[in-house]
Amino acid sequence: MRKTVFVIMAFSLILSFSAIPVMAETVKDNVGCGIGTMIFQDSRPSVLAHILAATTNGILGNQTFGISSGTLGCKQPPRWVSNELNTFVAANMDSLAKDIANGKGESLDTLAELMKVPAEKRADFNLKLHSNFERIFPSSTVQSADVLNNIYEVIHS
Amino acid sequence: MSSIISTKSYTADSLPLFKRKGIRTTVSLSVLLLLILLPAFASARDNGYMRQLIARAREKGLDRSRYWDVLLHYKKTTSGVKSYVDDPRFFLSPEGKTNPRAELEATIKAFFSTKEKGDNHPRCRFIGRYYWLKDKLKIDESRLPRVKCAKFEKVMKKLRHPHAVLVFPASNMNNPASMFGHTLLRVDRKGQSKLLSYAVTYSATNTDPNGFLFAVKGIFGFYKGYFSILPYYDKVKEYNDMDQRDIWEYGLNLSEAEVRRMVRHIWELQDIYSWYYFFNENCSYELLFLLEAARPSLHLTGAFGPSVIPVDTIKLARKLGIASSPEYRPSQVTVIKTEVSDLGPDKRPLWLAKRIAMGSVEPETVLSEPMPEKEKAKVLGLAADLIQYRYVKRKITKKKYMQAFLDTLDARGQLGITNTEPPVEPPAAPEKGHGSKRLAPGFGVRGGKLFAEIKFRPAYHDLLDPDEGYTEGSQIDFMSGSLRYYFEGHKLKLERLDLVNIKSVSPRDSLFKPISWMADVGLGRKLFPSGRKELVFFITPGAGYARSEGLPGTFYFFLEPDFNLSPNFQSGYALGGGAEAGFLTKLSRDWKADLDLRAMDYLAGDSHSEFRVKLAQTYRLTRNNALALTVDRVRSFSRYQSEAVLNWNFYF
Repeated sequence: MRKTVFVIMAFSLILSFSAIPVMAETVKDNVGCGIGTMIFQDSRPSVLAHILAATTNGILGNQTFGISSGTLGCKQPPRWVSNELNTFVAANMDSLAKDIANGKGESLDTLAELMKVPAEKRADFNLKLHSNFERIFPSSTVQSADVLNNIYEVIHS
Repeated sequence: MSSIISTKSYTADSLPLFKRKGIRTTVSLSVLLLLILLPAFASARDNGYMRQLIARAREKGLDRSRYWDVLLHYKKTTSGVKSYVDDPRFFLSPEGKTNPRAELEATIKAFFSTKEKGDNHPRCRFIGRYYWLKDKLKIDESRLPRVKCAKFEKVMKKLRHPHAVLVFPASNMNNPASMFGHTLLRVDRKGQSKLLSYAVTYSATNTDPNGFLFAVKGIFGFYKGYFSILPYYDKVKEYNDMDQRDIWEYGLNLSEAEVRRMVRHIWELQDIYSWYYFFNENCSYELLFLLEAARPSLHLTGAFGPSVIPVDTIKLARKLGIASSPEYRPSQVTVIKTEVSDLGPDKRPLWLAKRIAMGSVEPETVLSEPMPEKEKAKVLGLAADLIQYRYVKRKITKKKYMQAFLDTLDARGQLGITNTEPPVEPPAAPEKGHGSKRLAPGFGVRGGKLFAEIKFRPAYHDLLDPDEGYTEGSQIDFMSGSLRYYFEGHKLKLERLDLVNIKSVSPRDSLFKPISWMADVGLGRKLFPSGRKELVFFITPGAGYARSEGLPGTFYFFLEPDFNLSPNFQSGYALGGGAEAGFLTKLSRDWKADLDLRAMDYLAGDSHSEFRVKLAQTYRLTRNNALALTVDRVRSFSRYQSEAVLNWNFYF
């Protein structure tokens, strides 16, 4: 009985959606060192792809165990920057830029934590970065290594 | 008593010559023999210890213990036990998948291995097993070959005061299937930003461009599923920003020791695959093994049948008291909608934000607008979010995006730090929704004939079901069937069986322009020239438009091709198309109604036209009980028929 139910379930799923074509151009745009680094999945997946992708966590599951490094080919960060800090900044440029422009936010807090800014100095840190937004992000093509350098200069100026 | 020891002593020199040589030979031979046998003695000692441990394990019946089942993912079958893990590399014994004792003994033997080095050594690879066996068998580590699990120790060192969280990315607008959601695990470290926490997910790793192949492989377990660990910020980006899904985070009350135990088991599952089955061995199910490894007294993996729906695992965790009430992380779309409603009645701020996002107004112009600074900050903040949304939807190129985004933030940065973010009101949490299964007994009348009805739907949610915990306008029904018993003539008939019935009614407004769509496949009854409603197999896809802005509900419109197959057709089939329009509304907090009109014209096969008016209502009584009343009138093949049915919906 269970098997019959399963077969009918399977059949109905397949039948309904296999007819709809999958335009699966898998664009992996996560090679980036600056703003706009995103991982795009299937551009216009079929309904079924949607269904399965929803529960299979985006079929392009990562097989890595550990922090993924999307910083290959990018400018080298300054020496004081840990691997974790560098990867974080490279992967979160957009939200960091937004938080610094606002003067607060979760990504900015995380940056402060990774840069080991003590709790009592955080407000000052946020304000300093916010007031120097243009120095930190001088152009739209700025890379994470530059951003880190600029932040360093801003804090120590 | 006289001494047994001879007091006669000889010196080497006093011995006769042949005896002197004999002693030296004997001594050197003995030394040689000892040197040869010493390693044997040593390994005999190891082997002895190994055998001791194995004997001790047998005595204690460890191969039958709960935790061994948990670590190896063993489940009872009709012929014994079988591990749910499929990768042969997970087993140290060739029979390991079905023989717990063989696997246990092979594991103990492997601890003594001298072949592998460092983290490749079985004691490191199967660190969960090692810690457990070390404790249960009181293993003296100094009697084992020296091994250092450097990588593992590095990770554990970082895990100060760990805390586990069950994370549920809910569905997004326009994707009803994502209502099934997904679950992943997050391991937080005390005092550290959650974005840096490790997120553990189980996912399938292949993809096929062919939809049919994708479906078949996903359902029948042809994809390999792996656990992966990524920083949580990657997941937030993926779900909140890319997929526009709200995230719910349920803290788990596992102790630090329990979380560490779980991490040791996760370590064992590195690069180990199991076949991924969409319905039951999916992301949510595999996570349950991890929770059991943390706390073996939890029996979670046995609690599910032929299908595992992610939200049901959350409901179970809440019911058992291991998950606390959730924290809410709104998606970018939710944030944008909140920002828009926070702008107030004046139309200019929204107009400005939209123009900036479209690129027709420069962001700096906002700075000189005659509005309070706070308002300017809101406009620019909203504009930046809209620009990001447009990029995610691929409406602008990366280059344009980068420039527009930065320019907007530049302008924002000149306004100082303000408190402009409106608090987002969380909707009802997913586990607060009605049960995923529905049983609906009822009775009704059709064409003057009285009938009793029983409806059953194993999953999941339709447009008339109470919305709390679900996404409004999203419908996904699997295997929804209805059986009727007509009193006159004592006839039991299959009324309807929707194999799948998906509908996405997604209202368009000035900011978001989704296309509404639907797909319905199954068996239903059509009114034939005989005046009787006969079974027909149908396939009905559709696309359309919906709008709710300025209306007391949602208006929707679909264009639908329709293919019907039935021996009751003279030519065996009918093919045509038409349109459906309706209005879905909430008359009160608990009362939903839908007025639906559908006009279809079949031009190929048996040509005919079909027109239907339907009014469906649901009145919610409790979270898992509702009353449903449906009335419709149909004209098909120039014959008319009306029907009314009242059901009691039990959700569970």
